[in-house]
Amino acid sequence: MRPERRRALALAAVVLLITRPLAAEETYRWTDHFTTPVEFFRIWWSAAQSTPVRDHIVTLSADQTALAFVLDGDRTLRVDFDAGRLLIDGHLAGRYPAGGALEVSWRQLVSDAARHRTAAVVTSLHQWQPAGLSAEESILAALIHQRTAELGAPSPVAASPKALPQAAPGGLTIPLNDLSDAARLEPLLRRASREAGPDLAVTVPGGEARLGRYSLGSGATLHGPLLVIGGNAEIFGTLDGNLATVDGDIIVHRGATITGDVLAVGGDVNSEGGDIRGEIRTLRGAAAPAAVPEAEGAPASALATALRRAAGLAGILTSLLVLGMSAVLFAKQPLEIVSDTIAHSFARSFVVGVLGQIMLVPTFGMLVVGLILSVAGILLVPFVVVVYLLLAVLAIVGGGLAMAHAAGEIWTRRRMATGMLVGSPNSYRYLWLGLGVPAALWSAWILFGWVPLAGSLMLGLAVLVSWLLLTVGFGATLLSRGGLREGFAGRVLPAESLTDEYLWATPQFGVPAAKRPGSRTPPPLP
Amino acid sequence: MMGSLPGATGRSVRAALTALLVAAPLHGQGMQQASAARQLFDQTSLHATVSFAAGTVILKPAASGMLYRMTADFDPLRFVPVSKYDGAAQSVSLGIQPTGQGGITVSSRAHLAQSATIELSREVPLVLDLNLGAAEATADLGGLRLKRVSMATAGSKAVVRFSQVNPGRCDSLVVNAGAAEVTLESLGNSRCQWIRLGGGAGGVNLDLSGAWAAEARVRVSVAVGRVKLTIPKDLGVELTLEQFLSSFEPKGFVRNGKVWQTPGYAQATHRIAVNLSTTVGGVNVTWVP
Repeated sequence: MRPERRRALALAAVVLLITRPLAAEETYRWTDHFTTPVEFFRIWWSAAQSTPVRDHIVTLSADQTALAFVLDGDRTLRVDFDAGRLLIDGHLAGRYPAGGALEVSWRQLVSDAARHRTAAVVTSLHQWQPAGLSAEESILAALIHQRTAELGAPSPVAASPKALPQAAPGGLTIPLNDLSDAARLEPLLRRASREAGPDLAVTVPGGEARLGRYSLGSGATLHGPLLVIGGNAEIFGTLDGNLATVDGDIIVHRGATITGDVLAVGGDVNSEGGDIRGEIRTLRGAAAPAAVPEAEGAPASALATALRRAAGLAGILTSLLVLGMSAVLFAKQPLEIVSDTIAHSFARSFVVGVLGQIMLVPTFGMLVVGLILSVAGILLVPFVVVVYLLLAVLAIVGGGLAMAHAAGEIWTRRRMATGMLVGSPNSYRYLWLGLGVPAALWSAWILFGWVPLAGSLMLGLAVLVSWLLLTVGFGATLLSRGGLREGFAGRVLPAESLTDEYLWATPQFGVPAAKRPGSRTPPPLP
Repeated sequence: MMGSLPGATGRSVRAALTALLVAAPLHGQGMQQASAARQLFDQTSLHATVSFAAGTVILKPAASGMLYRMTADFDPLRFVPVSKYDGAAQSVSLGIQPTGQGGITVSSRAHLAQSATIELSREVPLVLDLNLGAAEATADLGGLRLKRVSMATAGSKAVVRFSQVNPGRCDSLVVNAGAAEVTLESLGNSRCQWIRLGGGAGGVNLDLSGAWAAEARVRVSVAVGRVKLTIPKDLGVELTLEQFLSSFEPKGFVRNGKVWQTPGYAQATHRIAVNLSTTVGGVNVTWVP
């Protein structure tokens, strides 16, 4: 259908749907006047590109005639004629006259669909041209065509159910003897589903793998674990072992028995009166990057872990950089004072930092207990708890940033002292450079953390250095009272050095004590 | 603002912002749904241990023919669903536990709201252990054949409801709450003989209504928080108070030595001994028909 004609049809549909008298119908709701046109437009324009169909489901009853398609990617598309209402994916798209040409034709189509394969059903739907429709029915028929236009040819999985050959040594092996750790099995099962096709080979130790729909007959007994990929597993007989499906449901019919566990990844387990003696598990949704080993013991596992850790490190460093830049912008002086405190009193800052960490919790406890015992201070407890925790976090994080600032500043000044050209020696640069120290250590661990002993040593070193830097920063924050005690770091010159005497008299600094005026040390004998 | 920064610094800031934009989607992660269930065959009892680290957990009776069922939405980056059944011991461990792996999850809070619904059979005698971390719990244990219940929670809120009478006989119900507000509703339907509720900081709502089977003892210890008692008028309650900095309005009680008793305590069909210990807070009593 041409776009111009589609739009004209849509406009006509809106007018019809809004003005159509609905009050006489039992299911009428006044909001339908507003929601139906909206849903109509949404459905009209939501048709996507061609999507392979895996399966179809037919529902037939006196009032309801529905055809649902199971699409790739765990999606479904359902067209439902339900007591005068046309529902598409559960949303009201319009209303049709009961017993009219549209409903009769649709019922015929759906009845035929129950007897045919999915590919034939999709073709029939695309070719469906009901005759004798009223204007309203024509619009709804066009809407159904529009919405189902995305249904493409059935995926190879649905088209060719078959037993899968065993994989070559080193190929895809999925052990199904223990289904208790579904999160571990999921990546392997997802991989099998992704690679589903004519060349797929999967080894299930002690059992077998099937591609596409699988049905175990009522008189049949199958031993060993069974894997079904990309289709439903319908059990009418006895399965002596575990059963796993990926992108398909498990349906256990009355009289059927599964002696082991069952697992459906990307599907459901429906027991329609059958017995499942073991655990029934399902798993849906996004897989965790942390648990995405391509195969057991494969190098990709280390790569996935490294990527996850790298993302974590990038996130932390970025957060610290943003915080540090904010500190430079809005609290530059306290940051520089704490930084200078570190530079001038490194060891002292470390000792105070260790003591501060030891005293952090007891101080907090004493503070809270003291407030409770004072009775009047009980009301302050919640505020004090919040403020104390905030201050502690601020002191540790701020101290760490100041430590980075100090490290960057020292390194930059040393380079400048050697005559090297440094771009812009400012606080932003100091922070960037200073954070590079722990970043380098953690990066080394990320790259080589998978090496058995070296990885542990690198992790230990990174943790130790990070703790050391944070401790020094924390201690310097305490010593300089959060950067408010300017004189501590020696950043501010004493008052006497700013007198006029400083300009002409003997310098107070850099002169041996014995030569200072007023020194009690006698001058050396001539 | 970035435009005013020096060249190298500006480049650094832009690089940092780029890294931020790259890192966010790299580690963005959706939720996963998992379920675990087992049909009821010849099991004669069940010892269920439910561990839930963070989120919202709902407990309720299972449909007929099911021994247990758990459905859970969880953050797969940090948590993993647990369902371990031991046929010999007739015990099961259910819940969501941390994987112990770190990482940064960039997503909305609502997107990461973990939840689990756990259903347990009402057809077999049940021993229930609940270990809830930072979880908000709502448990309707009505109709379950409870033999023993213990619950530990550090979360913000826990509601334990006995909407129906326990068909069995319960030895004990023990609830330990850290900083949670704990509500026990229709406690009489639990048919527990010994009930103990310990709380650190948080309110406690204790509803003593329901069909008590026999005499029972209730002990409530709260460090900081308010205790609200709901008492049916026809129930015989003997209240022993241990207070430090808390208030108590004894309206409706009759003093008998060191204890407070409801009127007609000696003649009451069901008599409950309540020992209430509070350090800081108050005790409110509500009478219901």
